[in-house]
Amino acid sequence: MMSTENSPQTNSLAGVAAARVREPGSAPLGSGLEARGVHAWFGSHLALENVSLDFAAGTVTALIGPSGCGKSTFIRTLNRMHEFIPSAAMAGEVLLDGKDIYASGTDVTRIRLQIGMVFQKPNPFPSMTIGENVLAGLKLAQIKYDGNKDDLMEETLVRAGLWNEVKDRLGAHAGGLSGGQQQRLCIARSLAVNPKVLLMDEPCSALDPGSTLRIEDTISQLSKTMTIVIVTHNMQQAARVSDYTAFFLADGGPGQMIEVGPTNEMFSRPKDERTENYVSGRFG
Amino acid sequence: MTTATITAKSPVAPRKPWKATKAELIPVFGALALAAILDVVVVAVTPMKGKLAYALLFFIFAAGLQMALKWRNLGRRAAIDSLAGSVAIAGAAIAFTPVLSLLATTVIKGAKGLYPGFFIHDMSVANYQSPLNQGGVVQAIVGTLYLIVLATAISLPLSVLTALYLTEIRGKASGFIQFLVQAMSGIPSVVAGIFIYSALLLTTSLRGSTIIAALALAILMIPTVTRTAQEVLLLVPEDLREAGLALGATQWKTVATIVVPAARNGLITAVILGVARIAGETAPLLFTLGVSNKINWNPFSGGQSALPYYVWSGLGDGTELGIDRAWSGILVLLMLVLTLFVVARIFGTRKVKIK
Repeated sequence: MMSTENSPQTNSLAGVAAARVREPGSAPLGSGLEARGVHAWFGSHLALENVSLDFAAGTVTALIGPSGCGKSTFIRTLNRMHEFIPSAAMAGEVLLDGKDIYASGTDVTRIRLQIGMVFQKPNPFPSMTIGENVLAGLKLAQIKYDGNKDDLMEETLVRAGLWNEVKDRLGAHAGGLSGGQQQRLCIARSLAVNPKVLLMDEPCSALDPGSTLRIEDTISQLSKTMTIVIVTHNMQQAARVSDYTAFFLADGGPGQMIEVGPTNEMFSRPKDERTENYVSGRFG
Repeated sequence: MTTATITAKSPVAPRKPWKATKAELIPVFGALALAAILDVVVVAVTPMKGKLAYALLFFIFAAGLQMALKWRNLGRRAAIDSLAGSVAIAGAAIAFTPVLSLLATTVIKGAKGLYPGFFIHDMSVANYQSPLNQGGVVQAIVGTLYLIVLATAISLPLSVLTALYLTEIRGKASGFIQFLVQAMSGIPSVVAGIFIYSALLLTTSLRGSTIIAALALAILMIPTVTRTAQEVLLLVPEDLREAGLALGATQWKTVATIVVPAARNGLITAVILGVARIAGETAPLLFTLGVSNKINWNPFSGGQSALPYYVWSGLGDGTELGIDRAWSGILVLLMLVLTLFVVARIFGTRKVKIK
């Protein structure tokens, strides 16, 4: 069903996006994350300039834009993974539940525990079985889990949409899974430590369309319980899974956020001409 | 894209909030200072004494206080993390202390016998008991350089080809050859010398010379270079080989133009490790080098000298002057090897040129 309220600029993506808008009155879950004036440098090279973006609790935000526009750099500033590059520097604030994660005295490992990450390339731990991979976060973060670990394993694998495929071989090594299954295993691994926010850096770029659809289903399910930020090159994917879309562009200079808005508006009537050119496929 | 102007345009200064601020470093250094004070006090009031007690107690106090700081600020997990870091630092310190001590001793004791003539004169004008301003090691420098160049020339092609056989061809004999290479790396150096002595010198009319000694050193160098070359060739991604083959290249062309150049820096490391293995070897030289106290420019005939051999002779001489000469010989050997490594790195690292 195509939405009819859109302007004549409506393209086919807007219709998909319209179906994703959250029901009014549904309580937000997860935690809010807010980037304020975030800059990122590699050495003296300014890669990202002055990005302010509010991720409301329980929403899915897609970051789109051409390669090299700083979206991956940006997402890595949100859980303090940016600082692993030796020459990296940053400016600005990132607030999780109103507290700056870059504040002096912050326990960075706790921050990363609360803001999970799924990477572009599936990276299950090769020495662990499927089951051990799911529970790896508890062990790595030294969390005492009071409940039944088998139940937790099943619950997270169900939420990641992988349970039915692996329930009979939880003791097998993760390397035997297909790429799509491995990526869903990585999502399950992130979920087991119950993060408030989940960052996904092009989680489907190496996957076939079938696996991609399953992960998108998973994202839709998860968005009821946590805040999700997803970087994607696939605009249909952005339209299908996200509530809000932010468009990034590096126009010969540092990456900047050009525009952000509800996803259906971004695809139907973007305010900036560059956004419109990009979402309508005229460049990028 | 001109990054300089962009950076200048941005009014916001880059920060590194993950680095400890000065205010955060004060308690860290304070704890180190406190550890040092405690260290001195505890050593003074207890029967413990000596450098080892100071070092051990300082480590325990420093690591403990840093742990306590982390525990207070961030909790138990951070405290354990801090302890693991302290243990790693202590391990590195323990490993490096003898190395630094050795270097310092060599420089201090070796400098005594150094004078400009030491690098110009040979030992035909002096003996080990002569005053330290007579005679020198030029013949040993020439000999050691000859030995390194010849042993490398013999072992490098053999080693790289063996490594290529093991990583690229992966023939049926790979397992056996791998086993042999590993077994060879355990050969005591004196055995290599005795082997060449009995195989070449006892049974033929050949006499000890540079090339004969280089053969013995090559036996020691081959397993080191082969193992390292094999490891670095295995690090070349399989994708690169496939990309070459998919362009219609033969295996030879793929290996020669893609795999080996990609592993270039690692192969240089392999050679450096091999040279480091042999440069100071003395035992194989005793049977194979012959003897010379003058420069011998002909590597294929006549006795030769070498720095390790010079050191060994100086120590064997046993007099104070002889031992001083030996220390100077060690210092020259260290400087020579260091120079070779630096030169290898400078010329070995490919600069990308855009024409």
